Amino acid sequence: MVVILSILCLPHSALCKVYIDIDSPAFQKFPIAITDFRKISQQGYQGELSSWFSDTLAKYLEMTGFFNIISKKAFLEDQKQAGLTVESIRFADWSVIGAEYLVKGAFQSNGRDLTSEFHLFDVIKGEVITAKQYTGKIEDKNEMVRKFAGEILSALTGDEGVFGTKIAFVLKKGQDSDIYKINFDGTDFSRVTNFQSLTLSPRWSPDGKFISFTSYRDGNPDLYIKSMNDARVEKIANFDGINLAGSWSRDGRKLLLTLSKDGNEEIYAMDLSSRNLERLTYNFAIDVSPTWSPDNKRIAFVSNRSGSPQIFTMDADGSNVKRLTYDGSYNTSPSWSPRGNRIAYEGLANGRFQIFSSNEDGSSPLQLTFDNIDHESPSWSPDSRYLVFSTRGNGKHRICVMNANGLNVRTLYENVGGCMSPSWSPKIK
Amino acid sequence: MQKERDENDISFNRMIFISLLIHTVVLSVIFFAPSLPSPRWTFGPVYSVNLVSLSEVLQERKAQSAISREINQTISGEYPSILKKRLDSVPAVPIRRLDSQRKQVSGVDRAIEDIRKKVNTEASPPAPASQMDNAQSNAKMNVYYSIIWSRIRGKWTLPQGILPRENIEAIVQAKILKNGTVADLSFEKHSGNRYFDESAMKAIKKASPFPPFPDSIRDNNIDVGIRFHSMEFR
Repeated sequence: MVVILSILCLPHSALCKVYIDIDSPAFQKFPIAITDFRKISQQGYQGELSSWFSDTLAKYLEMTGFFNIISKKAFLEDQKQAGLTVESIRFADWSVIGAEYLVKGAFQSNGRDLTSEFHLFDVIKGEVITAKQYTGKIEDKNEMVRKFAGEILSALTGDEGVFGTKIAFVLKKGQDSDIYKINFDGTDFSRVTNFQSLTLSPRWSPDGKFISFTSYRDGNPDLYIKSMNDARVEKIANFDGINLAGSWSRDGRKLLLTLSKDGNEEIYAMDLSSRNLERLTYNFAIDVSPTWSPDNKRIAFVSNRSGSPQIFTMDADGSNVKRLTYDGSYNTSPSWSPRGNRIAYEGLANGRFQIFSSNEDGSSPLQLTFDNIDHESPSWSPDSRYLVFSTRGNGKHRICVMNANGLNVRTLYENVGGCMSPSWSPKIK
Repeated sequence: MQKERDENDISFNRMIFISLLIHTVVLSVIFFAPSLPSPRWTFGPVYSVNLVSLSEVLQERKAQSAISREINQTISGEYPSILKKRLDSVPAVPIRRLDSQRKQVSGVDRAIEDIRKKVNTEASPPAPASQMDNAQSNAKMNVYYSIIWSRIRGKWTLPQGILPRENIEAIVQAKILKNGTVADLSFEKHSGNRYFDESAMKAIKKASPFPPFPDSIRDNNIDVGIRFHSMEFR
């Protein structure tokens, strides 16, 4: 933190133009106050909704890592008096307790019907930023809060966030494993496959409607695609040896995969409609884990051609291979951020696997995790602001989410049997 | 025969004389000659070098640089300690403190302060260097600018995650009136990122009004450019 005051005029001049340099914010989280929602009328449904709305919205905003929720105990406003309009709010009561933003709301329920309204205010300017009304059933109340949390994020950060996204991962049960999914907020944990065999490495299609994965269901590690809307499953590659799924192309027409049919593991691109294969790597070393850059012009992959497993990038046709990682003796599982400027991977540091990210040319590698357990298989959120990864150590397996700078780690799922290789869905409309 | 011997003696004596003459000349040349330009056969200039271990050097550096040691010895009185203080603890209107400092603001002190600024930029918001004649009021303004700096920085909120990777900068032009209120706020330069600009403007609005100007400042208002950048943010 360096402060420079530069004076840009002669000392005797009356109007001295001084520049004050400010180069790091004191806070990295928006201070926001959320009042209990006003009950307009409540008939039929007996649950307490006033504080449920405010607490649930606070929970969602906290998950993003961008908000500091101001404790209700600090509120000065007489909430019985205050209304939902700019005129009826004393913004000084909010700025004095440090709030930059304020959310107020109201609801009315009749039987199973629920109507709710949300207002976001800018405390400093004293004006409304956005306001929404949602109508639905009582069961939709979570969805209403999630939607408005997205509105707040969109208004303050330019992106509605990842509230509606899901994370698929592999859950081990004894010798077998299956694919499960869970919402970003930790809700709706559900099974995707039920093959009762070893099933691995899920990857979402770009529209979120399909998942590709590898399963030993029929004895050989074959490649499958499953529809997320119904039970349809299709085997799309069953070459001799391994058939390991990689990432989908942006248009959903091609799939990168690792096949060992020609002797050792090599990377191929498959056209999903014609099933034609294009071989991309020709090397005596093992080449695995391909992932496309967001513009589909480059591919990152893992190869041990330099002795130890390291991450390389190449053009989409397999030419112009460049080594990305030089630090450490073991770097695998690359994931290219959807915004294109970072590649996350796992690397061995002091005997433990940690998550790193670097620029796409390999510069500025940054270690993001530091706990003395193994951290593996990073996968970017569709807005590139978060990473999901798996951990194992101290007898526990976890699926965790953190901000892209390594802060705000949150456990999504935890067990003792094993959970691994998470994959973040795109935004599902 | 005798004549031949005499001739030999003469020739021998002459040779001794010549030899003595040559020796005398050569010796006197050598003796008196140091002022003459002559090539010197030496191994070049001689430096004395102390051998020290690397760890000693590093420790010494870590503890204090030579320049800051020197400064700390020279400085006395309360003036430097004021500027070294954390800004959060600077009183809102530090006029009284400034009066007690006035006597000590000499040219030497200011020069030392300039050096100190270079050394201690990490630790405290330093006053700008200047060659102003009205040293006291200038020093006061510097303290005043430091207060503005501290207040705005203390109100600036921006999550790192929402910024682009590259460094961006926004400059807000502010007119501050004598009583500390901010009369005009406008962008001299936009950063290109709406949320960054918004957070900069918000920080100034939250930080204002600023304290009134120190008494000795005769200007009715000052124009300040407040430059926000994300460089050291990452």
